[in-house]
Amino acid sequence: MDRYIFPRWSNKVLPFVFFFVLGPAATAAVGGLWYYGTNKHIEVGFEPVQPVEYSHKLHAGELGMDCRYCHYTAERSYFAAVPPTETCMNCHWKVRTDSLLLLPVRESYATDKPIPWVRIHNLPDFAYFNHSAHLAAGVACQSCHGRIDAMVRVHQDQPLSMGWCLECHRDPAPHIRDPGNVTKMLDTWPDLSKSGQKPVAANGRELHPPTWCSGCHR
Amino acid sequence: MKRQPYPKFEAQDGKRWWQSLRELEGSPELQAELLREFPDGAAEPPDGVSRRTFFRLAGATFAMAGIAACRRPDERILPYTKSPEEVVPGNPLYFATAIPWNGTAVGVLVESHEGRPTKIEGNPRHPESQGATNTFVQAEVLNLWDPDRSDAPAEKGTTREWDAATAALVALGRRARQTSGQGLAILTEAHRSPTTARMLAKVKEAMPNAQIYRYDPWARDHARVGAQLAFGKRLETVYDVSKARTVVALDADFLTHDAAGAVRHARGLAAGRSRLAPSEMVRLYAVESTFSVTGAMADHRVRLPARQVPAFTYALARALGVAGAPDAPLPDAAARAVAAIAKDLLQNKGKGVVIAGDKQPPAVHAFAQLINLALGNVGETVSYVQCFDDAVDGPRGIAALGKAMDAGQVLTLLILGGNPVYDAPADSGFADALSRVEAIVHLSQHRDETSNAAHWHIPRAHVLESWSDVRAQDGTVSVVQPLIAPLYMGRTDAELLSIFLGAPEKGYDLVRATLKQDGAADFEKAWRRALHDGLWAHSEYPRVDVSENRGQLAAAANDALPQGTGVELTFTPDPHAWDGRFANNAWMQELPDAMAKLTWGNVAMISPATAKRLGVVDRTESRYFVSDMIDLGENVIIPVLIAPGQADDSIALTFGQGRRGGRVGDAVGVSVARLRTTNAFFIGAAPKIVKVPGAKDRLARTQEHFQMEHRAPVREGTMADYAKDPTSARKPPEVEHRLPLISLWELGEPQWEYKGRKWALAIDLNTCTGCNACVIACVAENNILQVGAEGVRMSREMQWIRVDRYYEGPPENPRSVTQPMTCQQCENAPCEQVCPVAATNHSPEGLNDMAYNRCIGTKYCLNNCPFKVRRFNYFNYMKGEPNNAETRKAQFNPDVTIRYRGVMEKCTYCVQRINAAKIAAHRSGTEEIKDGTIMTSCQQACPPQAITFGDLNDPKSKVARLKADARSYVLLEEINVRPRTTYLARIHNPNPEMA
Repeated sequence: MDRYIFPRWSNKVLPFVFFFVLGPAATAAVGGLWYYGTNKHIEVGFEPVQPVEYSHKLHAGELGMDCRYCHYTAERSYFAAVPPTETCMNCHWKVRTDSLLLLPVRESYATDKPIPWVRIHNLPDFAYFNHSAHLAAGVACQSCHGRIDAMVRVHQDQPLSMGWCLECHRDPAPHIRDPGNVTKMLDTWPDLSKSGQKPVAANGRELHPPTWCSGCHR
Repeated sequence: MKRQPYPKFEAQDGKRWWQSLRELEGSPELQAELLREFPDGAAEPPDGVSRRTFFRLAGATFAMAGIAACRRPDERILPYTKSPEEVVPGNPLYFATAIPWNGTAVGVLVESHEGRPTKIEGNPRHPESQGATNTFVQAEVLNLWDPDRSDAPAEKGTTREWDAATAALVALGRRARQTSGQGLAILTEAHRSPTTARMLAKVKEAMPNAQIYRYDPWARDHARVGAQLAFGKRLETVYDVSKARTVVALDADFLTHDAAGAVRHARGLAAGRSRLAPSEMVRLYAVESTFSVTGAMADHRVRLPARQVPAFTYALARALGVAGAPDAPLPDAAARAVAAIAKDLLQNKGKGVVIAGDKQPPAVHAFAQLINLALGNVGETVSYVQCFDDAVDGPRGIAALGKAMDAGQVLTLLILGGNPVYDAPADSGFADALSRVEAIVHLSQHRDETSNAAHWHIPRAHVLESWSDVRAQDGTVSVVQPLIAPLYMGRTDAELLSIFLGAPEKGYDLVRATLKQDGAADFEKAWRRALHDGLWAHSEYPRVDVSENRGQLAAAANDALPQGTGVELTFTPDPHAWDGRFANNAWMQELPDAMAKLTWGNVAMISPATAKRLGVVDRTESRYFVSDMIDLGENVIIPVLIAPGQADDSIALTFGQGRRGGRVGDAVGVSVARLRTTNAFFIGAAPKIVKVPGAKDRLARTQEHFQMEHRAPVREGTMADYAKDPTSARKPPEVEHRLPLISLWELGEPQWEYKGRKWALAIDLNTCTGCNACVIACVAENNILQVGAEGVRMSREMQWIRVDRYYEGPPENPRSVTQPMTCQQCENAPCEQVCPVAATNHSPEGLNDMAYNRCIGTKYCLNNCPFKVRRFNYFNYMKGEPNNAETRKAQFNPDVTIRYRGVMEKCTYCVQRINAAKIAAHRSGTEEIKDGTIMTSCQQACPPQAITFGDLNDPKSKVARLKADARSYVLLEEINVRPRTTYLARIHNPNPEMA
């Protein structure tokens, strides 16, 4: 069999191959990795559209409702419950009964079908965060969730990554408040203890937040 | 992956502990296997695809999975629309109910997460539970979520609507009423529900000619008939072992399945074994054919074929002056034992108890009770209460039904639960006569063998879905309350009967109507109290006074003596499948049973001598445990297992395996029901015993897995030595030539000080019966997955706690000690030093933490673990049916991660419970956690309370006290890993006259 020699014109094809095949492929690979590969779960600013256009700014900010009116299990359970439709209807059976924005709420109440809220603060399943433990220690809602009272639609305010958790677990003092202040949205608050010192909860209990694996993973 | 074994020291006390016959013989193959880190082929995928192909095929999936995981998953939060009372999302609720079990009921508290029952705990207020449970009660929660449960009624195998089924039932009921019940037969299980009994009475009232039968493959009639023979009335015998000093078990494994109330018996025996004084401590004699849990706890075990136990009992009766016992020959050793036991019983009048096993004929029970009466034990350690009813559970009922059916006298047959087509005795003719019945309705949780033979199959509500009631053996009534609405609209027995009567009622109303008959002054208050406490106050039966009143005893005693010779067969419920109802329960199937350490199947257990005579062997062939098969006649071909301690010429069989249907339990093991007949229901003779040439079966046995390589992990001593020197039992046999202790860390570096809490576990080998309740409790609590029979053969089983069983002595008749083995939470943990990714670390409270999401699966930690307690996920066991079925997933404990393929896992002392207790304390503004608040799952389930968890830094804690006990020791002290788990040496109390 004769030796095969590439024809001379094939030299001209090579740049085209680079330009039209390898170039786009590389761009697609980089772009794809960029798009799909970034850690969206620690991305600050995630702000999904919710099934009800509920405004935290109106309720928590302007009306001054306490977080725990709706998120009623935050002090008792690991989970700060999203309120049952009943809770909305406590007021809204009288207030703004003809608002179109509230249609899904009324619908849910009438049909007994839950409102499918989109989860914003989503920890991985192997991390066991407990709301009640943090509130008992005097960590404010604001520390993790940001100024909810200023958000019309809630977005993720903090990275919620393990490194971020540990920063506070290693030096919790700046985030510890008086229990009366934990659900308040404040710019400043009285320091219970100085940063770097032994943190103490309001009732005098010394705080030792876990920095070992089984504190959060089990 | 070879390694040098750690130098081992030969024991100097002459004791040699062994786990398998191969080990006792010093098999060179076993030695070679021990040099391997992992059993040969442990990393092979199950279906024969080689590892490399597997990765090539899976490669693409891995890549895509990696990318997809980075995207934010779209997760929805679905709140309640109207919040149910008491529910705080995230916090479990507990409800008190009761689970009917083997002639009694175990009161339980069931944990429910947002309406999903996930875990069963004992109810401390209930006399049969006292806070503990057994394996089967624990596993009941998996039965609820079994994805193979029947989800709809069926007519001749075709799925039908509930309306059609109800209409058919009502029509059948109407027809039966027209003939006053002529031609109607109802077959029930051995139930103890007053409501079901009331409904059956109602049926009988409306249709006086109806016949009601009862059948249970593990019938407990003999004890009742025995009382009739001795005292002239049918009675239930209730034992209180806790007060006894001398316990004689006559073929009675009262710590697992005999004499009802195993959990209570284990607690009682533990009390006796904890009285560590020569004049106080209990002494247990077991006379039995098969090495049982009770035999392993016994101070003296007399190995005797089951059919010679009557002769033994008569000899004992005669020695104790109980007249009328026929004379029958006994082997010399047994005769000597009779004399010693009789003397011991006489010395402990009023503090002894003789327990007869349910397999033994009524005459044995009668003489056991007459001995108890003569010795003044009645009223002290034994009491009698009325029977639940007069029905007969055993084979005679179903034989009578079979005869009536065959004669064409039965037009309509209602079968409430049970699976008689599968388990009826061979000579009852039940299955064959079914074709002569016009209409058969079968109420059951699965579409099983009987459902397939029935015209109508109706789904039965699981006990955790039912409103019902149940009486414990002593009469205590518990309300059975549902944790969840019936998943498949199943009905209870009583509800079905109400439909049949044409007046459908809800179980709730039926139970309340029954309990209203009790005449409580304020019913609603009593009802609420019963739902809260788990029992109806003061409902136990009054104790019945007995006096000798022999009826047919003399004749019965002669009948009980063995007629023929040859090899006997004994039948007991399977430790995995029970009578078949747990056959589709993967937790139970994969549980290595107490003595044989067998999973996924059943065997014929034979003694080494009988095996030799039959020319059968069991051996290990290229990593598999391979057994010869024997043909016992009636098409029963079953693998043999050479069992140390088995009586010669006695073959132990378990019934309940070999079921059909269900993705887990289909064709696991061999059904031996065909060998059981009305007259040879528990003890019989084989039609033939022939080795099947060339036939072999690979058994999934764990006894040689995770070996401790005879480093004397169990320690024990005698009561006499303990009285002289309490530390004698814990002293290691090789204490003289111990190596100097070296630290893994640089010399001079101070040991870490545990300033806060210091969690520790103490396990008392003295009271541990090896019953395995801890294993199933751990599986349920910690979301441990099952690997299947092939996985177990390759040593991939994942239970975090295993119960090691050690033998000592000659293989024909050894002694045995069991040792629960779980992560020892070493302070100098060798596993932590070798993890390349720091996935396993030490917590300041002394826990050996495991961060699953960090683990990359190098398995270095397992290589370096001296106790072999780490478990590796070779595959994603959640993949594929039935594990990924939605109903199966609903059982998982939300507080524990479900581990993925390629991840190492192990015991964490139930860190989720520790954290929950700490957070609860913090919520109430304190650091204080009272001793006993935190219980590990194994501890909570343990019937004899052999496991104690607590804080060593609290000097008043029970665990600190136990650690300071004279019997306390740690494993492998010489390698200085400083385990947090300590063991308390076993003290046994041999009779000096039998030494």
